[in-house]
Amino acid sequence: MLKVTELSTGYGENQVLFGVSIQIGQGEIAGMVGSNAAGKTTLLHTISGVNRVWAGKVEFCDENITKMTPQCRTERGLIQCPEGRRLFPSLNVLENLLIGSYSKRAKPKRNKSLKHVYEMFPILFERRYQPAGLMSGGEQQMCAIGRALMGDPALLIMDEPSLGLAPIIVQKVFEIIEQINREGVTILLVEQNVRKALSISAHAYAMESGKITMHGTGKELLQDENLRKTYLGI
Amino acid sequence: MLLQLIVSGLLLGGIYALLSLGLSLIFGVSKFTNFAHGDFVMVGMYMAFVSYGMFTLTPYFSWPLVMLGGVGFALLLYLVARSTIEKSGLNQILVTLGLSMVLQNTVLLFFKSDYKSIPATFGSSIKLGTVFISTEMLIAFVIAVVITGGFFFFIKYTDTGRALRAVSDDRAASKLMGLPVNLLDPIAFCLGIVLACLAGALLMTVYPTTPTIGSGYNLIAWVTVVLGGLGYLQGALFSALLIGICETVSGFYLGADLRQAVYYVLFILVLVFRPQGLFAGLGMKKVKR
Repeated sequence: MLKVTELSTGYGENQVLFGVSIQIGQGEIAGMVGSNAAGKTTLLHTISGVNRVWAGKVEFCDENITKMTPQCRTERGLIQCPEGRRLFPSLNVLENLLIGSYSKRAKPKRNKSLKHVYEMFPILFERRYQPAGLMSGGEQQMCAIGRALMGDPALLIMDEPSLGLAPIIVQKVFEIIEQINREGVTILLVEQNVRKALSISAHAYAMESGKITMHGTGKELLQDENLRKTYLGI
Repeated sequence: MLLQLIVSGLLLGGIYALLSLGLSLIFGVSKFTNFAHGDFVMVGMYMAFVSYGMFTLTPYFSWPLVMLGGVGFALLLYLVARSTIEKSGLNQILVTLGLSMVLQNTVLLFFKSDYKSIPATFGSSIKLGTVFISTEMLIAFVIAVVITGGFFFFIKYTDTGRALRAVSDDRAASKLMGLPVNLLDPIAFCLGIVLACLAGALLMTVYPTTPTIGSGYNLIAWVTVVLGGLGYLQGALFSALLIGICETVSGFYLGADLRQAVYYVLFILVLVFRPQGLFAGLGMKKVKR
């Protein structure tokens, strides 16, 4: 579904990604782990189209989207739920959700998607007229996931969805990710919670200093000696 | 007397609200520092003047033409300045100051530097208790209120308005969400400049115009926007009313020469003690992440 080939990019003079290639099949959860500053977020931003590509190719559903604007990518169902949630703080919860369905792709399904999101996260319905910035971290993450779902994703890119959340909420977030996946959405999951991320991923990649250092099934990576040492401390 | 001054100031502030809302919107959405904003008020005044001269349309009827012209000038501004969006504010200031000179001198070339005005349609005033209100001013105020109401309705309840607020909140996240930021920029420019031109057309019913009149309005617009909190629409609305009152009251008690000094002092005080803006935090504060 998503195929990234030999992708290189960076900011200004600094190259961040050095020929990254990944491939995600329809309907799976793909995991991506790596330490801070490995280039994970840069990769996701480039896939979403907000970073310029220096070299390489990004294909989505057999279409070359390397030079497409972020807006065209959301129209094709490539939706990102960004790191740190990035809700619009002066908009209320409902308005944030509606922003998610701004695209032509999602607008006709707006009411249906909204109902679906409210069923999934009843708290968002209760808080719908509250400014998004006033909610707790967990609720904000629900809102951010809800906003991404409003865009009718075919591929949902999730950047550190469990970052800064209480353990009990983290568990909930992972359950939600699996639920979304069961509903037919392909997921690219970047996580610092390596154990959890790998255990739900069909395929997984480990990234270090802008390069893919390892890939295999989630289980294989979990059992890999090096990876366990680096990320799990065992 | 004080009541009279406050009422007159409120009426004036209602018109100022149009220019500060426009400036605040453009600053909020595109993070664009427009130092030519007052000159678009001037352009609006001349458009109203020309409409009167050519078709004897008073501003009450020429507003569609002024709006149309406003869209044209907004697109001109966007075309000239688009490469500076998301660049340093200094570039934006240079570009807009340059544009300001071009606008002023072009108008000077065609209309000379003498004051132009439109004869009053009503010319009378209404007496409410002890307060006299100029009919022209009252009508201009009512129109300004209607436009402001329409503007807030658009911003609050339409998809485009919501998207504009989202971009104003977090431009980078908006791009990531796939909002058409490149399209929302010119929309914000058009809305902002059209508001400024309409404010000019309304002011034309009360005041005469001259090519350099824009610099005064430019300063008023910036003072109100900073007072209200940069990019903060409701704040801009309230501080415009405040500046209107400030201007008439100080104009009367201290003399017309000193009235601008008063709101600059207020401006400096706010920058020193409340740099986030006077009205930030009154139930509409920007929430920290």
